[in-house]
Amino acid sequence: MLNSQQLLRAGILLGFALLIGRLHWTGELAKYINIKYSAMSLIACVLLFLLFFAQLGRIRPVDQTQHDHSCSSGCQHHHHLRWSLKGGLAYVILSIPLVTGFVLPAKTLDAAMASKKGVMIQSPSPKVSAAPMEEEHPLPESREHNFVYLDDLYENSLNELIQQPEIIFNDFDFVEYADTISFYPREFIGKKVELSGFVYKEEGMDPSQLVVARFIITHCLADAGVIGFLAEWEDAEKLEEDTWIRVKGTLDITQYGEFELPKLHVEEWEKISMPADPYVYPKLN
Amino acid sequence: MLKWIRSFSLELSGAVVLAAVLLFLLSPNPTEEQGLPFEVPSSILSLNTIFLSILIEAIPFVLIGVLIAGMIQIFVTEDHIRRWMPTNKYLAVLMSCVLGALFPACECGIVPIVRRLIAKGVPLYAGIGFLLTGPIINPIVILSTYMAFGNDAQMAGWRMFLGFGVALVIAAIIALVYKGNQMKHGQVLPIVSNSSQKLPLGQRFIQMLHHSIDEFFDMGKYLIMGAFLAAFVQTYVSSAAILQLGSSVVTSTLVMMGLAFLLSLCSEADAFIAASFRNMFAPTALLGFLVYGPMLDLKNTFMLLGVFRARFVIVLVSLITVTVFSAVLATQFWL
Repeated sequence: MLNSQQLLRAGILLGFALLIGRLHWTGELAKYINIKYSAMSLIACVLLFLLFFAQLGRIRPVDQTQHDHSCSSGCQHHHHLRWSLKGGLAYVILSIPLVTGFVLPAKTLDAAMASKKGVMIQSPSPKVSAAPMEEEHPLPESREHNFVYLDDLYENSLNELIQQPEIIFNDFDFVEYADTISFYPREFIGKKVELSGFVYKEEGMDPSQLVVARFIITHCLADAGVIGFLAEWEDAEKLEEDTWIRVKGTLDITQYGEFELPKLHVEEWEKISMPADPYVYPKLN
Repeated sequence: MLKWIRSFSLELSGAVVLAAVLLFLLSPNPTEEQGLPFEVPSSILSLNTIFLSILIEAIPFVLIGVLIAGMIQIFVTEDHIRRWMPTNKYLAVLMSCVLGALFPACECGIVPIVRRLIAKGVPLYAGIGFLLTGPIINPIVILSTYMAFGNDAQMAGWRMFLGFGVALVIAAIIALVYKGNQMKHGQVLPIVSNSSQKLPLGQRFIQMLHHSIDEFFDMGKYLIMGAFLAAFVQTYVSSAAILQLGSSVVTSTLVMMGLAFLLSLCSEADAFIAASFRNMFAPTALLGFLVYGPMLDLKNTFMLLGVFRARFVIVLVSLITVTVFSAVLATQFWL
């Protein structure tokens, strides 16, 4: 007779290999992780297949007499797996991601998730300006007028962006552009920009305001964060959350709580469909 | 007939499996737009997507972890360990922390490795030292921290320094307090007898894979439970609300450490999240997030519960929490 538990294990290993393999094959993987790490999951897929084939050899019961096995007596339990409630539960748990992975569709992160994540309307900025920790951690005073303390990364990007007559965001540069502008919002006052994202609204926002937001994925969806620009115009009120829009406008700054943020005065806008890849990714050198 | 089925059962099951493979590969993907034949609330779909995302991210590292564990099981003997381990407890602690620092791993991949090492006779304190420095001090983590903080080496430097110091202290305390390996019953797995040393390499390789599979099944269920809980927290608990709890340096450090635990981020990606809180919290709080997260989170706590006695895990969790918290607070005079 076959060893049913070993067979089940083989099935689960194959299931995981197929799940990951299929995500690769169909390109759905991008809905789960930053595709830059797809090589890692491809390795996982190969390793799972390897383990599956190794497991196949255990399905047929080994005759005790020709059990040329190297382990000492304690090893037996591997080969004579007995069914127990606890063991059965373990297989149920292991099957859950297989079932949900094959049956349920991947859901793109939406405004509801953004509100859980806590939106950083501006992205990482070293500017502590009016923040309470100012006194404990004074920053160089020269912050606004010269760039002594600014790192190369954003400085290069600043010099580059400031020369463009109009800044058009593409998905590839989105993070870099957004970071640079929120790093030095004052430098960009009056600049024309064009960008796309989904509509996100936070409680307490003016009806004429919304956030044109994107999710930024570093590695997997668990580390997703929201970046976006505060946008202001009359039609904003009519737009529902999660609508994808492309907006054109002029940059300004606004005070948001304790921070100075870039704000976009929208002049033109249109509804668009969700891009094939709705997420943006940090650029790593 | 029955006999025939029985003798060909392997082939039959092979055919069934093959058919299943083809079916899966050929079946169209369900998509968001198409919808499902049955109604699923959108938050459940989000929960499931994040859950799978965490798993897909973690599985490669866990597989590498179980393969290394399998290798240790087959190719490393107790004798080797006895020879390599310094007899002095504190020297062993230091050595394990240094080895962990040199060894690139992530917090879930390292658990099966440590389990196997301890089962092979590595003292508990050395295992813990290795467990704590492995995920936090490695080239990818350092590089990503450096870049996330705008190519600033200070945060990355503090992260390594504190991570190493905290690991040393914790492992030393464990060495003082605990005797025995604190593993759950039935965890002390078989030891390879000398006979296997003489087996041909190919056979030993197959054995290694078999041990890796057992390890994968032992650890997998805990990983899945941890990933599910982390995804649940991400979907239903507002981190914005948690963040509001932190105002002073002390509370904001606690809040960031709590967030690191709940979010269960991979140590290779967490620096970017920490950096996004830069204008909200003092560097001390961010450091709490960066040092605590790789040592403990929902995912790996579940895995630790699969390896060690629950009491020991509780003590270890409290010990790590208190040590990281005080070490991080002490840095505020320099940061």
